[in-house]
Amino acid sequence: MALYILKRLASLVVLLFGISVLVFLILKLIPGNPVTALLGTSATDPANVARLTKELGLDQPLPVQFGRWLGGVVRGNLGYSYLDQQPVDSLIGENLPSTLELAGAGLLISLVGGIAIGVVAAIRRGSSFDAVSMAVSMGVVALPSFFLGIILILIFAVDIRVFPVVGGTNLQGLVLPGLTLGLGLVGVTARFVRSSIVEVANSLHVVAARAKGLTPRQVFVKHVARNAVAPVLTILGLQVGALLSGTVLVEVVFSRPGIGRLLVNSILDKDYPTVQAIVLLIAAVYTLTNLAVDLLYPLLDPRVTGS
Amino acid sequence: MRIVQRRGPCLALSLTVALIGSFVLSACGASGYHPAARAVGTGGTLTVAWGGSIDNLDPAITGAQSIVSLSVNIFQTLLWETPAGKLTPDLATSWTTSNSGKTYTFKLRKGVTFQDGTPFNAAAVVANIQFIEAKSTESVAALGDLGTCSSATALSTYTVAINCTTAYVPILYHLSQPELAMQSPTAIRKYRSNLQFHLVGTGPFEFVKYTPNSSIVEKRYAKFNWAPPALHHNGPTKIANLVFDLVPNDGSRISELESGQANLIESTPTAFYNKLGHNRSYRNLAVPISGMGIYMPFDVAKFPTNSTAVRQAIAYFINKQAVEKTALQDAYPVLNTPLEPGILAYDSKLTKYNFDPSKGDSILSANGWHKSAGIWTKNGRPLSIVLNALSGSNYPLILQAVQSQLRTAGLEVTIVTETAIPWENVNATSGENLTVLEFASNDPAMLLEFDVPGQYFDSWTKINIPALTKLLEDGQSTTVTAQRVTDYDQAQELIMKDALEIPFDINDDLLTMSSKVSGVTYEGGGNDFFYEVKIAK
Repeated sequence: MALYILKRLASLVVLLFGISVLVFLILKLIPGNPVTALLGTSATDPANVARLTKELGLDQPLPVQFGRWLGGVVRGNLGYSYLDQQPVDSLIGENLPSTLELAGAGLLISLVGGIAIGVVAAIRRGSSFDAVSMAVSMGVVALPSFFLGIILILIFAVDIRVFPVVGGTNLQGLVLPGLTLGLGLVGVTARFVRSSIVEVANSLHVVAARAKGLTPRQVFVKHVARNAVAPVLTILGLQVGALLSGTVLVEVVFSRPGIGRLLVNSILDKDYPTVQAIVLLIAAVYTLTNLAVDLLYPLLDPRVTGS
Repeated sequence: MRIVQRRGPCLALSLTVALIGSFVLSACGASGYHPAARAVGTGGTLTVAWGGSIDNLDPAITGAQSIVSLSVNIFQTLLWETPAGKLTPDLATSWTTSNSGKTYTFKLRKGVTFQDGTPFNAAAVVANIQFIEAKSTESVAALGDLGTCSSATALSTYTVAINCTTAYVPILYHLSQPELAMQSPTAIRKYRSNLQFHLVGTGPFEFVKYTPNSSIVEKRYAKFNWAPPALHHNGPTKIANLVFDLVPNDGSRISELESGQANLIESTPTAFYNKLGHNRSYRNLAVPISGMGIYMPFDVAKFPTNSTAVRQAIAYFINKQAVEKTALQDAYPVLNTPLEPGILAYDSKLTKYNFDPSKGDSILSANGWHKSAGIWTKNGRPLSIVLNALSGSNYPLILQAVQSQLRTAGLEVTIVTETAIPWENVNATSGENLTVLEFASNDPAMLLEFDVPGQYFDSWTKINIPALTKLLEDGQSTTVTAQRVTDYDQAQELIMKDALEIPFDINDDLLTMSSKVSGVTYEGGGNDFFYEVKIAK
């Protein structure tokens, strides 16, 4: 197991390195010059441009620039934001808590809603609840989050007035953005949970358990739920990526601070150091979450081993 | 197959409902979201949904005119400009100008204290000028407003002189603008570059908290009793709190107003401005922002707009009224002059370019252009221009309508859309023929910024006309108002005759508020002023 973890961590480092190379090169291909962006109104003076280009090391060959940036990242220095004129790590530090709150709320809603609906639909397979809930789940999955957000605002903020449109980082302001982010994933989770439970419920060990005279509750809790939860864990890992990328739109629609909105603004303003750092951060969170899921898997299903 | 009895689903559903319910209830109860309670009642809170982006909230540092509207209620200036454009006393009770136009002496109001208890006096004025002039401050708009007036001297406790290296008459109007607001010298000393999180002025509202990308909270300054005499009203504000929700998304601002979360929204999208204006629950207010309005300067060094004939023809090809109607729902009045009404030297009788495509055709034909396959060409080169639009504003819509009209007239037109900094860089590096922007100031000296070599914005236009330069430099230095008017009038006529720019429309900040809100005003220059606001129950 220890060897497995080490191997996974090593592959994680390789993956993040690959992502950082890719992001670095893509940003270099985008038209525009960060030096003129940084200088703003002083960019008309070629001497200023040349001076700052040298200061930032942008006159160096690409491998040297990348090496310096990577060296900084390893030492915990994510660079300096051209746009906000402050270290990128402090920018991320200011914005990350809000995004984590939002992603956490979305995850909570997707798990609670998705598991409950999935379980009920599986238990009442073939019923009208099953048909309707699965159809609605499909519809919610297909609904773009920005559209869902606007609908929720109109109903719960404008008409019923129980939640604010814009609420900063207050808990009350988290409800509508959280629902916008989480509801789309409720559908995915519900459908996955349902199919997983149905598959396990039809397996031979469940039939055997029932034949032994166990009560339906005992059958479900001990033999169905436990075996059905492992695949759901996989979905959880994958959803982290969807949640983090989903925050980009939700933060814009609800005018919330966060790394999603920071990323959009940084891309539009060609603030490369910030874009690089945020993309790397999202990739790291995504891969680490999936690593954690993989490590939890053997604990839930002893048939799965590290090898 | 049903594998458990019916109670199972009920339990699962109950759990879900309980979890979501507790989440929702806890959210409701966490900080007590009651939009109605928050919105109504004298002594309550005025919540403003604000659309602009903030570079730095400190008026001494910011480069954006719109930002100072956020802090104008916290600070006061030496002079107060009425909405009609008259300079009246504020923190200065009287002032004199030396014959040379280089020294401006102010008698200051006594008994004024900053919100941190620091007394306001001549030393405070000196500290503010020094703060703006300090290189480490990296001041943008305020430094520009000071012009050649780079120092101040305390002549006595309540008399201060502002000294200019060359005559700089616009300083008087500029001293009424919030960029040159008086900040507490104690706060300046203590916080310096971090001042935007600790603003301290003498105005009717006291700064409480600024959360970037989220909100600015201000509260009533209970000791405030030194309002500008022109307001004919004194004492602290009626409302207790002033909150700015920073909401760049247009739709979210509208929803905030409709939900009652905000009592007032700024930068109302034009379609909603017209729609809500017909709804009795809301009231509109167009705040005129003094300056050059919304206008389109040419790059006069770049082909083909380096030709006066081409610029004049383009001016005749553009139907401003139609652009207004299609792109902006007729929310703003059309402008035909370099300066907006209300500014010294505004003249409605200047040369105009009313929509007349046949005149444009004649000018081009007379200058060697001919139409080939529907496109004007000369010496084998098509009449092709690039328009540079700033994203996140109405400008792309305006330029799309202009593009359509110019294509109909026989021009090849490309639009480049950029965010603020790249947009500035394209303009400054000859990447475009025409752009659209607004420029705010309350003195006609602003024309110099775009039309005189050596000025930053002249790197956009490349204008270098000695006669125009002389008029604008003279207008800035003469202390005789009538002479200033003459100089600027002639300068504007030169600008229009050579079609150096196309004035487009009046620059209004469109506000929409609940009909329960009254007393929203603005100071000359176009900054929203909430001192006299009342909110009806």
